[in-house]
Amino acid sequence: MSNSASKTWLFQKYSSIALIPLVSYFLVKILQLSSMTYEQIISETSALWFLVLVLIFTVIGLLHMRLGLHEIIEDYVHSDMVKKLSFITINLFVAGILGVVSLSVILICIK
Amino acid sequence: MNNPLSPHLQIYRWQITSVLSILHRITGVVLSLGTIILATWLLCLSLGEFYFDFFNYLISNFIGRTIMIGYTWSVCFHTLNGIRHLGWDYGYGLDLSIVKVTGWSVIIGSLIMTTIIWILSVL
Repeated sequence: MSNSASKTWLFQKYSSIALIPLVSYFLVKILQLSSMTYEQIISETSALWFLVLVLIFTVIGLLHMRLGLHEIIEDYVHSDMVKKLSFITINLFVAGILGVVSLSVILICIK
Repeated sequence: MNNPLSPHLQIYRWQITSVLSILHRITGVVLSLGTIILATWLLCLSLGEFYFDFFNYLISNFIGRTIMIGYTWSVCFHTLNGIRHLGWDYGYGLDLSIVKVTGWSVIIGSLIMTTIIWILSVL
């Protein structure tokens, strides 16, 4: 299990195992939050452990997403140039989402 | 002239196995794009009540609701079908008859989950 293809496959497997409880938790959490006022939501989400969990979910989710999108690009895009551009776009997208989530987490933390 | 034509994709019978496989990818792409909505929601929450109310206003019309319900179904489907894939990785459910049963369970299960989530959110 030393080549990159099997490492990719293993990461996709382990990240999906980690994402099952995370996705289930956040589905229930968002459902609970949907019936609350703004102040209640802030007090529910400003706990440090919760914000750390949001960041963990974001990082694992984005890595899982990045690998999945790579897999699709590998299957359908045959031009090396387009492939390279797609990978750059995906990386920029991942960085953008991670940036926005990190900024939001910091802003909620210092509220 | 009745020249022979090459086979068209439409003439092949739809099969649960191939349809679910392509749906797994489509929902994966939908979830990827949906991270923009989730990140925007979190950003609006962090910026203040005005922005948060504005976000809720944007998703409360018919188009917004449709997108959010579709997104919820994508989460449920991709997660349930992902569990099915994990089972295969460990050698469970590989028998063709079982593949069909678990496939239909994923479709029906994801629809039921989505319905329950949205009924609970309205109550």
